[in-house]
Amino acid sequence: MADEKEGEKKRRPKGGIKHTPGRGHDAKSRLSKQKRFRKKAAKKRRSKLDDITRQWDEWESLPPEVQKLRPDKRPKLPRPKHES
Amino acid sequence: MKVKSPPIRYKFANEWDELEYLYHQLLYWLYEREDASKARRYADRLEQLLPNADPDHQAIFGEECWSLVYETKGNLRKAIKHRKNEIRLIRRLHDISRNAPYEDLILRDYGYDDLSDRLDLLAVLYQKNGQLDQGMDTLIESKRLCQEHGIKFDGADILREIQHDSVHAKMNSQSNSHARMTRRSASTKFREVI
Repeated sequence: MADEKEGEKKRRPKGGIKHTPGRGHDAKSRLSKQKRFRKKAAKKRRSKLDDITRQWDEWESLPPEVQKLRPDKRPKLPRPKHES
Repeated sequence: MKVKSPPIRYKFANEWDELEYLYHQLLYWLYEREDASKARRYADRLEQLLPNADPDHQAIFGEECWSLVYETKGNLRKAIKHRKNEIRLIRRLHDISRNAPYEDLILRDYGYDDLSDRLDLLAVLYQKNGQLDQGMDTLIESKRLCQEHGIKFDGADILREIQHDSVHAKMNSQSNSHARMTRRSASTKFREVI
């Protein structure tokens, strides 16, 4: 009997750690940073695409003679294909 | 403080992108650094690109580049010709876009202040080429344009310089003609004596 008791592993209560959302990380942790950076990059990408689209809209609104006088105004990047 | 040169680039989206880059480099080396040999390198590259980009001389920016190329190479007659064409095209652009929905968009880059700037630059070219009267007329036109549209006239110093130069030129020509007259009268007197 004494041997059995000695060999038994010490266990914690069943069920693991209770799910507590928002816990386990802080403002400097990897996950929260990733989330923040992803949001920031997406915002930047979206504004860049919007800017290119605006430039194309402006260019296409100009009559051909004005386009001939101002070929430098033609947007340098192609028009985005999948606009949101 | 020394102004930094525009960053060196090797990749361009299209030929107009490359032209813009070369234009800024040329301006920097020609006017900021006053290094004609370095500016000439960019002028050569511009000269190679321009015939493809603007074969009909219909683009305002293309004409400005041509004018700068010839100014760098010392061909003032051609620089004046292209600067004049640029001004003509800006005026045409103003005529087309007057009261049009895109007027604001167009005037953002080529407004009346830009037109006045180009007139001042043309006057400087005339001055360098010794055409002082044309230079003066161009500056007067620029000043009138500024007054009409309530813009500050930037060419006052050039106007003063040209006036000063023309007064000197007149004085020189008068003294030369006076010297010629005295030489002529001296030679006739000499002949009479003989």
